[in-house]
Amino acid sequence: MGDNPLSIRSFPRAVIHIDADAFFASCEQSRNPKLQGLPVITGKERNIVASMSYEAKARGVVRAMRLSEVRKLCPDAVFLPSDYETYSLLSKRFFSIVRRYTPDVEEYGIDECFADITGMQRPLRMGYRAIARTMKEELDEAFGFTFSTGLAPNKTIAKIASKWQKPSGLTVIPGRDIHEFLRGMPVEKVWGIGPQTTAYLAKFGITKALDFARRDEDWVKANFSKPFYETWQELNGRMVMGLDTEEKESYYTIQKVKTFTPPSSDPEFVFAQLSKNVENATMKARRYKLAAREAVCFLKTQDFHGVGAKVKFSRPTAFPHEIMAALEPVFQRLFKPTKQYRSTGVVLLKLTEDIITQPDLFGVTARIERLARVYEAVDGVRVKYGKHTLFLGSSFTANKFAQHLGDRGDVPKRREELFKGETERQRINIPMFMGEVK
Amino acid sequence: MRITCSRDLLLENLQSVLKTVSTKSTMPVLSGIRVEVKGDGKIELASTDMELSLRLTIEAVTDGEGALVVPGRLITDVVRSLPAGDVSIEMDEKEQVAAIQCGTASFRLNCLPAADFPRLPVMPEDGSFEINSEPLISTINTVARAASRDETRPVLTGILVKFSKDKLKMVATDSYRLSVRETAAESSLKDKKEVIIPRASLEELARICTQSGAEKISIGIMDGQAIFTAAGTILTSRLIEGQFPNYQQLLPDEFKHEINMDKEELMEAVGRISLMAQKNAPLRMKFASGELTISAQTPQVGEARETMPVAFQGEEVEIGFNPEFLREGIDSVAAKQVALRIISPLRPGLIKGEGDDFLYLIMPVRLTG
Repeated sequence: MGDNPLSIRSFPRAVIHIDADAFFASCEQSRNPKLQGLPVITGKERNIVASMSYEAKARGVVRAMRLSEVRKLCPDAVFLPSDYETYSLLSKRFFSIVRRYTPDVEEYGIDECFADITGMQRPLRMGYRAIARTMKEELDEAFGFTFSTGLAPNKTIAKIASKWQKPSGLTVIPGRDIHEFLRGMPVEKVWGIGPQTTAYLAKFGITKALDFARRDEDWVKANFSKPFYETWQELNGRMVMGLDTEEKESYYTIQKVKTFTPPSSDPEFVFAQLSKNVENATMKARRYKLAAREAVCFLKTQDFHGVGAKVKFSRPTAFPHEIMAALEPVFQRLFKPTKQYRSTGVVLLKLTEDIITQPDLFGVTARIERLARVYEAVDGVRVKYGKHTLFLGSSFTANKFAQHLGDRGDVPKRREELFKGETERQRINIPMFMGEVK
Repeated sequence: MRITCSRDLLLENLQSVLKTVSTKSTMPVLSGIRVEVKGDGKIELASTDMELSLRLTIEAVTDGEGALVVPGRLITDVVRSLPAGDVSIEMDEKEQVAAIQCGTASFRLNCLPAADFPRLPVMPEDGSFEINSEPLISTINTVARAASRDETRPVLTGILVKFSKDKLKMVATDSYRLSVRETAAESSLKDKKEVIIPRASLEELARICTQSGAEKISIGIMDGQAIFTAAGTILTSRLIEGQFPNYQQLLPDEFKHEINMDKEELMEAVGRISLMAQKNAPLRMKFASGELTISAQTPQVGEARETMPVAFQGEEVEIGFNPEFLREGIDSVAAKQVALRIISPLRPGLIKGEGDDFLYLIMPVRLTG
């Protein structure tokens, strides 16, 4: 029984999972050929490893490692500050290449996606394997770095396939071969199975993915909640999880968090940091025509303790001065002058579409509309002259200095070489990627 | 102590006090009903959610005196499940148990001591006054629905109530519409009193008075609390602190048009056409020479229109309203004829009954296309 396939059909559906290898570090290496072959690490501004190239990985560098530790392991490492505008533009490029093959693409994070290519053999005049290979080759060539690709009958197995061989793998798992891949695989490696479930499964003597897949359907239904039953079905070669193919156009929450160095116990400075985050978050909200009914603000101290509190607004708002006015008493309560703070953050919650159809009797809506025009002008200035050219007085001290003083204050090189009037979002320094990051 | 009374009477009263039993409080005692056995053949049922409290007295055969807090929802469910007939409840204060007996069925409910129950306000010796219940109830029923349900602006969830010697005035607004009624009401009050009472409390008061048919209501206003008694029932309510918006300045001095219509006819037409105003779509009223066209359309659902003759003259005006707000306004009018006064599509409109002492100001919805 151990050798019986879990499914007898190879590709009832065909799903590809593509994962860019060491995406941030690869972007940097691709942009600057001098970095090719060197251990490149991004995340300098956070003082921890955000992403590392395979050269660095080979030396034992792992994500979230402190840069001081990295230096010991790998003295020749190149530390770079994150350049999210570039990464995000390249990420869009990545998805648009995948969309040349099929419209059904789910953007699952900045550096990975699922693509459903079921039934595309005829239009593309290729078999499923050939599609996967062509896709991977086109991506590798376009970006100058590699993508790990997995082809399988559903998302869960495709995820296993793309991880099977990294970097630059191309792994195909037809339905009738699934059992071969699951046999030695620890169950916690399966997408969607976390530590809690792993412990729960261990109680039933299940440690390998294949043990779980081989369990009786009724037993799984009886002992697990629906998401895990879905995982079980996918491990058995059925496709039950659909692709969420909508491009991100709306948000449930908007979060802005920023760390600063050196840490500070100056209430005015920390408050200004919070204010800057609120300005950034509301700017994004306004761009998507959203307004928040609630907001959470939080402060993190040097010893990584966090405190936070939630405020509710009497009406949805996307105006930073209103949110700051509501957050000020909360901040006064949370802030302790004896502590050193290292980051602040804000999350805008319960976002609703920011359109007023019903004006009110007291003239509040009329005032909101006037304010909306003010912020439209503010946003216009920011688009033209740069994001932090116009800001609230409460953000002043945060805008006076760079976010990080000292080494961590380094910014991506291209930001230092802007023409007068050019914003850092406008030029990515890669000729083939003209455009602006939204 | 022991009480015996009919199951129907007990159930009816338990259901009444159950309304103010707290459902989400972290204090267990607030989810209970205090049952107090008085020596003279009377028992008092009391409940509170700390905002509103209710006490009512029922006649029963009693034996002994004392009080216990019984689990509110549970005892109501138990009594409801019993067959018609007499129910007897034996309450043991020491053991904190209420034993219910009806026919051969018996229950034992664990209770809490009455001492844990919050002390409820009592009517002040002086400073209380009496008012006829009819104008009070009818005013609550016309005005209350305009009060806000949005807890983020507490003062608007209340109703501004002004008592004076011979007048009663109530104002409510959720900032999109405003309801004002000033009516003649005899009271024993010597000066004036002005308070903001939560909408829910006044609606509960109206319900109780309608049910009991009480003609007079005694009212006491204390620090942060109002107390009402009617036909043996005592209701207390927290008052809302804060400044009620100055509604006088919202009322436009003059309007450009006044259109009189038959209330029933308008109400029916608005009701019909509203069916096609879904997903926040407005109800459009287009006044042209001699006629009114009411219409609504919702994308992907459909549209509706209806024309009725009205005495309107002058340039065409099209104004949009939230259908629900408009319907409630027209419905609140008691008279047969209703007048709609308007200025322009973006200025508030006023609904008023002929010879009525009631005003309903409603902000229009902006129309597009």
